[in-house]
Amino acid sequence: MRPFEYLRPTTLAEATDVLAEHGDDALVIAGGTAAVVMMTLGVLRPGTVVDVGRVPELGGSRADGGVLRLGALTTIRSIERDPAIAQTYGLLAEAASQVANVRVRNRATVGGSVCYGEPQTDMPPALIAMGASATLVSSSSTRTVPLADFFEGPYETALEPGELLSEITVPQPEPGSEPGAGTGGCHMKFTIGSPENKPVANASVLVRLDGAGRCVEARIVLGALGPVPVVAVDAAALLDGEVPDAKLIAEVASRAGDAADPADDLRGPVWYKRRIARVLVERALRCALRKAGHEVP
Amino acid sequence: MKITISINGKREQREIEPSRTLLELVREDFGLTGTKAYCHSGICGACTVLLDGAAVSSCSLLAAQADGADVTTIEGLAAGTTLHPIQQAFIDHFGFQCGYCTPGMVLLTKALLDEVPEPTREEIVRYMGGNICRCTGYAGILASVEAAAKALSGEIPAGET
Repeated sequence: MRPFEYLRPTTLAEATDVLAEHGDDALVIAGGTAAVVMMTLGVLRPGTVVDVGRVPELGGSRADGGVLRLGALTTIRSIERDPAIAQTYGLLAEAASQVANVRVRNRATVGGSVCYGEPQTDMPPALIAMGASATLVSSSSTRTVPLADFFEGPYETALEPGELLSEITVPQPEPGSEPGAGTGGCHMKFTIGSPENKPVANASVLVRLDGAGRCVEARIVLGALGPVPVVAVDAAALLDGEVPDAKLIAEVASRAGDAADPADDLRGPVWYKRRIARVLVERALRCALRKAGHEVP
Repeated sequence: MKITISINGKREQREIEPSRTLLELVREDFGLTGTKAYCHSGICGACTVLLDGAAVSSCSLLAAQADGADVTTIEGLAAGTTLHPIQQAFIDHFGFQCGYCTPGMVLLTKALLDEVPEPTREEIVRYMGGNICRCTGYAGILASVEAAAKALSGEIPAGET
């Protein structure tokens, strides 16, 4: 690994000052599971590494006032295991449990998994499906960006030089108000070889039903099927006000597959990935509906 | 930079280059070569160590990030010449072939059983699926983990796994 200057700020103010000073030459690391590997491979060769792993303001997570606040340093493993998250934000816990392997999940952080901008990861589609936003801070400003607008290309994000992601906020899914109504979320991935490999595709689906089983809200987000997560708006719109049956689910899945923008690579050709996308969306949608209390035969 | 690190219960101070990984520190500075280097990508699990009790890939962690932490390597499990029950179970159940993945497998088993003392087979597979045995000796590894869980919970006496 090429030598670098190593800085370990201990407050958020110190961290943003350091980033303001070093700008583009600084690489922010938290868990290090991606950054250290990229430096070992020589893909990233920063002059300065800013280890924010000990900035207390970036740690901790809490749910209050109908919002889940995940400090940037919240590990994927703690999202996977937190009973409070599993109960109300189950889609996040489900996606977290599917990230890489347990060694990575123990170290990798939610902030890092988003800022890395890798198209094949599990957290971005789930967070976007849940309507999450990122808080970005610099030495002179603070702004909030919906995660749906955060990703700009493979490994490219809305982060400006000098900015740091401090927190991810996730609104609590609206509970159904009528008897039998409910919200359901499901994350699925399809991988060739062992399950911790990068997936051919993944899909996060969130649905909310009214008491008559009609869909009042649906979000479908695909990962690994384009340079950034694909929000399948048209496909989800087909569900508006409908009681989903097998035929409608197949139509939604087909439309979602059309929205995918995959590339040919080692994980398969474009036509194959589109077909996988359809199958995944169909399965994830059925799973989400089942959790919302609507089993489709 | 100077770091303080506890390796297998012994507090140590070292002057290190910040660009060195925990894997390099453990193997080269401390001579603890039971921790194996292979993929350098956090994928294979050969370099698994326990960092404050949690299984991590020492290749994808800077030594500087472990400053102040407790690190356990495979050399830290046995009590003198008495093997840890997990190590004994791996021997009794042929939980290794070439042995390269074994230190990582044993430490990951330790992390699993500390968390879930009596895991189901499915839980073992899910937890340990990320550590790769290229000899594909998984049946023996699974049997070893199950036997280790029984030995540690007192269901069968240690040494008779």
